[in-house]
Amino acid sequence: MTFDALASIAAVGTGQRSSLPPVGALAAYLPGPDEADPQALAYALLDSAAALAVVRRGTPAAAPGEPVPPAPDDPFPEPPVHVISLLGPLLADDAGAIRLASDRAYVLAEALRLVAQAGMRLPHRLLGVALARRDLRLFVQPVLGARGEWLLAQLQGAGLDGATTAAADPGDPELWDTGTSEERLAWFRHARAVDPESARAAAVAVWKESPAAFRTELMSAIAESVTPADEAFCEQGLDDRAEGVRVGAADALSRLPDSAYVARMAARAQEAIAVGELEPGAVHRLLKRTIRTLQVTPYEPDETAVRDGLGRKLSSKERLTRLVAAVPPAMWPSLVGATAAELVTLHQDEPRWELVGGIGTATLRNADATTANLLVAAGVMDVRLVPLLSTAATLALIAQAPTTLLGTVLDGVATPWPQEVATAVGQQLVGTNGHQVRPEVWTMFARSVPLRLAGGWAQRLRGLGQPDGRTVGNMLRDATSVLTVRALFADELRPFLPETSWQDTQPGGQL
Amino acid sequence: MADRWRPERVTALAPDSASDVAGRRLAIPTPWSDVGYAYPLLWGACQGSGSTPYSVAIDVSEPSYRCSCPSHKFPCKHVLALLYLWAEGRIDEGGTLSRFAAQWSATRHAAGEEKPANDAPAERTEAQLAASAARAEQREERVTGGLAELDRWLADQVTAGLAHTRPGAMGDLAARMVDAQVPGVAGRLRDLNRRPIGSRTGARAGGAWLDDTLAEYGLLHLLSRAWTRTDLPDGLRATVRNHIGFTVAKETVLASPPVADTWAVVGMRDSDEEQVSTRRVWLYGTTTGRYALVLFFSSRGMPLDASLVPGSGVTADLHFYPGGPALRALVGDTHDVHQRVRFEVAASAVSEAIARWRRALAEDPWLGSYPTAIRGSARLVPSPGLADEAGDSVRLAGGATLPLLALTGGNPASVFGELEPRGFLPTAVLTDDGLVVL
Repeated sequence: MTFDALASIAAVGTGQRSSLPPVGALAAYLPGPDEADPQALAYALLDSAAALAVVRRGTPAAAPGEPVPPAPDDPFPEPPVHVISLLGPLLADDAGAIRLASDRAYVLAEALRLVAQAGMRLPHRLLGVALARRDLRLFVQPVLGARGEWLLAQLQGAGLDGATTAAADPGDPELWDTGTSEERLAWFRHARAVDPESARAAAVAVWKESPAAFRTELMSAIAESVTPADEAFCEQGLDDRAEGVRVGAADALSRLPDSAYVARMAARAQEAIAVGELEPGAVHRLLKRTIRTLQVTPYEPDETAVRDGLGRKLSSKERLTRLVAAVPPAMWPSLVGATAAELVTLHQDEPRWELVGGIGTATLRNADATTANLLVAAGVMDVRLVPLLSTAATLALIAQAPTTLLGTVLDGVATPWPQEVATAVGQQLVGTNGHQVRPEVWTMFARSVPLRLAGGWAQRLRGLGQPDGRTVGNMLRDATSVLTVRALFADELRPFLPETSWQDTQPGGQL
Repeated sequence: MADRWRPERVTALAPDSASDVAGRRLAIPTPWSDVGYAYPLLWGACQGSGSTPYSVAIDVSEPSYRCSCPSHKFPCKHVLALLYLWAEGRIDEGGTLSRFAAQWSATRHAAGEEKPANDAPAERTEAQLAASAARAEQREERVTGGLAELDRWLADQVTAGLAHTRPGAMGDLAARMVDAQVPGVAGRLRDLNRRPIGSRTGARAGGAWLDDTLAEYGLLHLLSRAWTRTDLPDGLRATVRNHIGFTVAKETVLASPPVADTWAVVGMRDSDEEQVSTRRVWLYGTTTGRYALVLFFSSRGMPLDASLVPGSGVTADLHFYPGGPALRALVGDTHDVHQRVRFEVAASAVSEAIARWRRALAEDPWLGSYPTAIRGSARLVPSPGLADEAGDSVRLAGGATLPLLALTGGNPASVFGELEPRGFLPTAVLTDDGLVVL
């Protein structure tokens, strides 16, 4: 009798049975039944179970299979021992030195990138835990070394690596015909970057049978990479039955300064906006100064203007915003005799926020850094412009921004921050108003300070001692920890990094 | 001067994982000041939430420690953090001895000098001896009664059918076994009670639960019957008493002949049972080739003995408990401690290891696992296993398969671990750099 058969009998119970099947050779080792005992059968089953259980326990499970070729030798060195001792707890996501999980992931990603730049690999004993961090696979992959690649292949072979489903190659032309909507869009964006004409031709070929949502996505992708050759296609888009497509087409055309669409919108802007002069008062006459004033005439759209996106259902303010947003900022001097930045500072009979918003949008569409800097210098607080700003203009915006908006402003500054920006933000944090700054600014600061400055700022924050208030205390402690660990990694790996790499080291990136 | 500790030893000292995490979090230079080290003293001041930093002093030779923080954990996170910093080489020799550390050290020395010698057990009177014998007899009677109840209960279960097992029934019986002073049986029943009961319908209902339960019932029945036998050899009788839960006095074990060797620590496993934490440490005699199991116990939340750290070694006399196979031991006189120990091991093929495990089971059918070293190549495909040159294999169990593969790269290696019914649980591997704990 096998153990399984015995277990089946035990599951049902011996109460309904008069005998047990023989247990074979083991019977010689088992005691005979006690006829006088009413539960003799149960005890006999337990005796057999004991004997068969010992036999079963003495036969550990085997793992049959063919031998696997061992891993090749690793040509790259391990990082210094202190780097390994820091990487271990971070890879295991132990709270360790850094309290917040998102901070740990960020610092780890940055450290792994440094290890890769130093031409090093993870030590073998950390490979298991590193491969378990699928959220960091992008950063772990370059430092796996030969052993890690071998281990990954083993995991994938056993179906134990959840990250085995590789994303489809956006360059694969098959995707356009057979992929999902997301995959088709990925291919289209990739194709636009490589060969915009062919990509547009592909879009044209499927345009009519594509649903509105997909056409909207395609037009949006065209707007991101629009060229003069796309003008005719986009003009047709203004007549599309889907509003999303029409909005996308107008957006695309307004990014082409020489397009007919921009010319039409510029002409309308000239009708609606003018710069005049006020009758000077006595003081101005004495100073021989004139007062320039902004004059806005509500624009009444005709059929062509409706087609261009200035519909009658829009409020006059919204219509003005759209109109101004379609005029490249560099065009304003020729239209009204004033620059875009001057327009927002001219005397106005009432605040024209819609004008400021429209000029900001046009500045972004045309990636006009000059106008962006001038707008900020003129006092415009438009955080969308941050990516276009010079360091000086960014510093001006940081100085102007209320503490509650500081995080939003800094969100647009590329990381690592320029040294001057890091210094300005750091000084705000350690200044008297530091407790008013929102917590995310502490986090951004700790992560975005250039690596070469991290140690110095960690030292400075440590010197602050214990601030008043639990929240500020936590923010200070977290920021100090992140800066300290970043600096430790940097100090240890700096001798192995090329100087240019050290200066320009990028952080972990988006996780 | 003693070697600097390795971080694993600090981890082993933590009273619980929360303290360890908190200690690691503080193991950065940020909050620390006035740190220094002059063997055996390590000291520092840690800025906490208050205005005054906490003072920490540690004697790494024992270890013993003192912190001015109010934590009830022992050691506290500040002690652990300072030890981590030191173990990672971030605190160099030198520094000005803090007032706190100097005072603590002086107080300890004074206390040590005044402490009366208390090693020799006090001589017992005849009345005490008689009372002790009466207690022992009373316990044996209780155990006899308890095991008889156990055996009846097992028969009732099998008669009615295991498909009708009432959830929690084993827990109730375990409590009665505690009353009957049969803690070993109570522990096995509690383990069984924790396993989830599978579906109890169908021809082969319950799956693994049914198989495990029946096997355990059979072994408990065997234990109960063995207790009633008066003709057992001394070794087997001692084994039966061990599994029932009779303890053997330390002095009795230490009076047995010692086995001297340099013992490598090849595995360690901690577990919590009710209010008691248990640490199981496997040792390998680098000269004798013997294995030993040293157990440490503590109340939950209190630190477990951290003198035997995986990867380290100790030249010491071991005294084995009675019963077979002789595995459980006490560490007697310690002659030397090694941060790392280099040795060769005659690792077995899979078939030899299994044959040894079977011999051990023949001596002790209730044995949970058996230590061994197997020479083989780890692989993951088609299933996790360790295969030797002859092509024989054993399934790899536990959570150390991936680290083992990472460390060996599929090359043959001598792997220490525990052989048990599920397969082989690797605990350490011998590499070119020495023993690496998994």
